[in-house]
Amino acid sequence: MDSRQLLQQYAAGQTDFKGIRIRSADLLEADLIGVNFSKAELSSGNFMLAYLTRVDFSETNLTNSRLSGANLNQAKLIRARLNNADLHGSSLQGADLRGAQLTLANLLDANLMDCDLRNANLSGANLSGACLRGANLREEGSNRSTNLRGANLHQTDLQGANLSGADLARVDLSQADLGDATLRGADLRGADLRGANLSGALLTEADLSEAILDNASLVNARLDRAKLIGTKANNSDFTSVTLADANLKHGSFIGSILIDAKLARCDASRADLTGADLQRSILSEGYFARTNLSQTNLTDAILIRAEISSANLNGAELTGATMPDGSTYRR
Amino acid sequence: MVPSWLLDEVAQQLESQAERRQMHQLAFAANQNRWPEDPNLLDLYRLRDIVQDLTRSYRSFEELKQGLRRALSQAPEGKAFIPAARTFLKITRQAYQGDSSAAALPSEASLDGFNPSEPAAQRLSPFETRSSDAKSHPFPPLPYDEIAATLEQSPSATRIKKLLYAVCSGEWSNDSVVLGRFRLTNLLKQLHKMSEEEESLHSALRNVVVTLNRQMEYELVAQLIQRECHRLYAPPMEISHPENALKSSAPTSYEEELLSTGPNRGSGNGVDPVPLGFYDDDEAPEPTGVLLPMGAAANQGNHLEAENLAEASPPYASPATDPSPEPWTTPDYNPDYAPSTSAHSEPGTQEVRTLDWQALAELRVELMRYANPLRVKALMFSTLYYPFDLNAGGDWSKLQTETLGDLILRLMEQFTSHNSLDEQLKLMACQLMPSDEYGSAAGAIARALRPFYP
Repeated sequence: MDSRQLLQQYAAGQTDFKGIRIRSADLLEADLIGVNFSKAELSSGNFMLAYLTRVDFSETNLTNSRLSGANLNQAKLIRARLNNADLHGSSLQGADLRGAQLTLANLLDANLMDCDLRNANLSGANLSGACLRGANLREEGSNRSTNLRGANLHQTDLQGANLSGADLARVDLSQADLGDATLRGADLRGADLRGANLSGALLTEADLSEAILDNASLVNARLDRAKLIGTKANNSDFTSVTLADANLKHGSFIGSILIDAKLARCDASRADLTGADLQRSILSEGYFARTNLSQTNLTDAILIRAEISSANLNGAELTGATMPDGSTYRR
Repeated sequence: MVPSWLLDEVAQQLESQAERRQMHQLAFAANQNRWPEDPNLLDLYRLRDIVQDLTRSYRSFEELKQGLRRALSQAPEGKAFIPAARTFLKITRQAYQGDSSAAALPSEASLDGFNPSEPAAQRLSPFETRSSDAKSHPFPPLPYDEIAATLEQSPSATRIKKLLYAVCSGEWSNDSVVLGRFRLTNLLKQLHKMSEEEESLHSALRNVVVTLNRQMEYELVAQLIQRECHRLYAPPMEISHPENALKSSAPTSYEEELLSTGPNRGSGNGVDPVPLGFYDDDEAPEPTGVLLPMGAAANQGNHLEAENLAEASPPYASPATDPSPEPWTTPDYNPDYAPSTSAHSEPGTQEVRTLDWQALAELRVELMRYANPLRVKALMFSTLYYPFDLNAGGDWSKLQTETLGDLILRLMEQFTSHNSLDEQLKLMACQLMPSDEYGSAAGAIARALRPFYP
């Protein structure tokens, strides 16, 4: 069967093309709404600007296909092979992409709102400018998580997305919008999060070691038990953040705002917080061995039972702070 | 907007003329308000693109003629360029069909504003950037030119200029035409004048940097500026104080520039620049964030300023005199960044707002939700440049280089009123196939952008 026959049969009312084999199909701007293409062989096809809403592409081979501008809203793409596919400006709102292979796919400016991307492989994919609001990328089962290694998520909109346990190690997330996103247990080691918005994000037990968070906003974010070993987060906004039991060893938080931050029991040994604003922060039972707290503002901070004996407090403002022994610091 | 085919035709005719090189130079100068001293510079700008820009900037043929007159005044041997200017006007007149001022053929008289025998100093346009006070300077000259030359060598030269312009003028601009009107040397002079202490220089730069979306990059730019400007703050024994060096009864050429072009809060009154929520994206189309409420510049001005403002001719009219404020100055007003110069605001003047990244993200979401993202991009591309061809590989490559966010910002930069934007989108949608799909995209774009226009 070729593309022309396919369109003729569809026009005649047939919608079930399960297992069909058409390589390099020419279906530019074709209207194939609701068709069943599951387990089909459609690699290297041209589906640009095609109407493919609610199409079933489950386990279909769409490798190297051109799907720019295609409307794939609510399509089923479960375990579909979309490696190296061009999905520039496509619309995949509410599509089911569980376990889909999207390695090196181009998803520039694609609409992926409310998509199910659990267990999908997006390694090396270009998601720049894509919108993934409300998308589900959380770890599914115990075996695998959504793979985004080497993906480009610069300026990607991931507001409210669920990325629990996702593999985002060394991913470019600079200026990405992760506001209110769920990143519980996500692997963000070495990720580039410069200028990213993580306000209200849930990062409990996430691993942000060696990540770069300079100029990022983490207002009201939750980072309980998170790992920030060697993390660089200079001039960032951590206002009202929760970092209880977090590991901040060797981290750099120079000039950052940590007003009202909750850092109880955190390990900030050898971290550099020079010039940070820690007003009213809770540092109880924190471990600040050789931590650089010079020029910090610790006004009204709570340091009960915190280990600060070897910390550098030169030039720190401690007025009203509750000291480790429970006394209030008076100038 | 001039149809693409007509622009092609005009460009073709211009290219076929013997004086095409001179016309190219003149068009460049009229467009960028600087003479292309470097002969290689012209090769970077296609004549067709320049003409397109000119027809967008100069809304009437009469304005174009004025622009050409200014360009002639910048030409090294202005008289020699007059025939080329006449031919240029004769050909580009076609692009102003329907404009009554284009009905008359350009003659010698149409260029009578230019007198080649007039001394160069008297021929300075309101935007002229040559400084002329060096010889009369009673103090050892400060190394502004050297610093400017060093900064201009930097790969971040454009960002340096943008940042300096923002600090000095109190407004952010990504518009190369606006920025092209200012010499880096004069901006440095003004910055130095505003920042008597090295520490205040740091604050002035920092105040702007913290409002940018690319703080990291601009922080480095600010550091570079500070490093280079350090020598301006050497002990008084080495260099005379800039306040003395710059005090003069006559305004500096920078002041003249600013007085001629719009809001000027910072100069002369010691007021630090007021930070706003600037949006900058170097790879993206960049909006201009104006700091002052419209009319504030006029309110704080003096007679000289008012005169200069009155003399400023379109398309460089000051916002203070421009009845249609730029659209990208309106969205998403952030009161935290409201200018502290509220005393300058006139009751009833329109508050100026800037488009921040959050507003842009919401816009993108709205467009993606209600229209096909690729069609939206293709339509925006077509409206901005030329009709997008689905079968042209080059067009696809170009579309890949600009994100939807980039195109939104460029569109808002290009169209100063919602009506004209709406019209152009609809017009272009009719030219693209299938026009109903693009018509739908046009409606979605116009609706989404409506709240951002006054």
